[in-house]
Amino acid sequence: MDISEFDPLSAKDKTTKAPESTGAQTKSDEIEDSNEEHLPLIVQERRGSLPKPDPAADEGLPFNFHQFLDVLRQKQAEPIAKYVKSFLQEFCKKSWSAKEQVKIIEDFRIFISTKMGENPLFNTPQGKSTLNSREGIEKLIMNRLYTRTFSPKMPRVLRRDDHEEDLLHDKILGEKLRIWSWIEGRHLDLDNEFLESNKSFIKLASSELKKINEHRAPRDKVISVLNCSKVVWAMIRQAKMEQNADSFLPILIYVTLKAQPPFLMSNINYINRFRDADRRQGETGYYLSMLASAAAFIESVDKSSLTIDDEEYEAKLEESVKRETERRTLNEGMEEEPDLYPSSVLAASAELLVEHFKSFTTKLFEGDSNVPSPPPESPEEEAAKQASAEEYHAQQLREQEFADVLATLVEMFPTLDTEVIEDVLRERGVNIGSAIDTCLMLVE
Amino acid sequence: MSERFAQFKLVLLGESAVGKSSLVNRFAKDRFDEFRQSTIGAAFLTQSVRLEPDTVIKFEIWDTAGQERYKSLAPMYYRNANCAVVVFDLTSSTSLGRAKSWVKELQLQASDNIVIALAANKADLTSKRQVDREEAAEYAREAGLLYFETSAKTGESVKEMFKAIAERMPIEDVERERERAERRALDLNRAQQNGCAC
Repeated sequence: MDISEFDPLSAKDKTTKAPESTGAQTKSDEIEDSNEEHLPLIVQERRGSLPKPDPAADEGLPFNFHQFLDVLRQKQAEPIAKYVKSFLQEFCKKSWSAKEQVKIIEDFRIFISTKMGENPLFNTPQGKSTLNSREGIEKLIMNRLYTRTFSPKMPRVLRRDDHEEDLLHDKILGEKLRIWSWIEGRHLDLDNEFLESNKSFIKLASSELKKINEHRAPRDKVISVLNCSKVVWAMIRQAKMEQNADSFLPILIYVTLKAQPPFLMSNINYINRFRDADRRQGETGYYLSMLASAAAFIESVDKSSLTIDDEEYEAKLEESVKRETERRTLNEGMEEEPDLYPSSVLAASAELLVEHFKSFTTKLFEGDSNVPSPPPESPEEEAAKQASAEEYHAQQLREQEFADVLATLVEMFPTLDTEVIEDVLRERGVNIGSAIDTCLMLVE
Repeated sequence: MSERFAQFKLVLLGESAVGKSSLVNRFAKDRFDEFRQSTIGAAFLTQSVRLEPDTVIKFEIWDTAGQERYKSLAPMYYRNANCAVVVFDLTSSTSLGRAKSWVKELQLQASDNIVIALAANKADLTSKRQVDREEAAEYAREAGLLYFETSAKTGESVKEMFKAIAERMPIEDVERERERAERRALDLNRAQQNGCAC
């Protein structure tokens, strides 16, 4: 079966089926429903490549960004595209506090969703597109405004007090993460042996958590958190531990210490500010609070919050504080790391940004859709080549990721055949959460 | 006729071994209506309670880690909670002490109108009981709490407790809030139409 036909989301609830049976079953009408954020089929066919991992499956919501952009490109959608364009222009005209940004973006969301509701292109009979459009708008504008809303990426001239607070908070948490990186499972009443025998779960959960910085759209960042949480639950189930918060939180804290994710507080605040309020509640809200509380724990750890004797505590802490002090001395004078805070460069290019919007209706979409342009006929050959090189690079990264995840899963489930795991993984479109669920079920 | 529906956040507090997760599992696993299993993991559950023929109250249940070392994190979970179930083990009087300190904290720090239920769990272990029913009930009355002696094992009073909480949820407030949000959307569009839309 061509994997590009497979829709990981609609197959999500069918985890009971064995991987070898997928060939026939995926031919069902589920495919017609394919609502996923996938690479265009053409690219996949040409290169026989892997589908882009679909983060959506774990949030249980269908979302197809390309479909949204396709709709937005149509003539009839022009008024909507114009509203978006002028909104982005207005937003970029001055600097706002985070609080103001939240209000402005929220108002625009409400405004545009009413407008889209009145437009037959966005308002299909099933009402299905409404959600897709809301998600699409969020991803589109937040991708565009990322360097004006995500504090670590904002040029200094645009940062206001609340953004500076994010950065300060990141810095403090970063220090604490390093200082407490020596904490072992037993210090949190987690059996060291248990962690050792499940270290591939810990590794995978950490790498999922770290991905939070690879995404720009709030929804995609959320999915990193949910995927990390899912892996922790898989570990709890596999070990037959009690399935509750008492088991979950210490492991999440341990995973966070292992992951050492940069800018964690900025990420959490960004999600809380800019993720659609309706989608930020419920289970998503719960796991975001879990992560925030894990971070809060790490920020305030002291001897009384660990199971440890005085001697070991003093020795470990002294050593790590010494290392941190050396690190700080080394970094002195480099107050801001240039590649992280490209303030002057970005500020200068703010003009260019505005320039960019002038050819908005065509350019708006290209940058967001990952769609390489069709073979060019003349002058843009250069640009097209570059786009295709980028796509090729992205494809290589995906293949590498596939291989990495496969290796980790093989390690996690030693009783399963590598081929079976590979099938599961292809079927799930490199979706970690559901791939693990399926593997667990096969083991059980 | 349309059904009245509202969703509320319920936070679950209690020491580690008092059986708070089994209590909630007991409640959530009873196929009351439209039970939907959570998608990520077992610490977040939802369950609905039908009150009258036309009212459904859906609880979002947030489990919290009960170990002492995580106590200071509790505010991150009970923030914006509409209700709380504080669980203790009636075979352990120290667990009642912990429960009381949680109640006190909730009353000081949580939302003003939070509804708190005190659950004396493990009611099936009558021979090991350490906490006197009258005494605990009296404390609950004074502190303005709902009080139930529950057993996650037999199911005793579990449904009743959640139903009693559901009856105290401010469904009218939720409806008013919903209307307000709709009005705001209308206003924003009207403002836009009157102004310049380039």
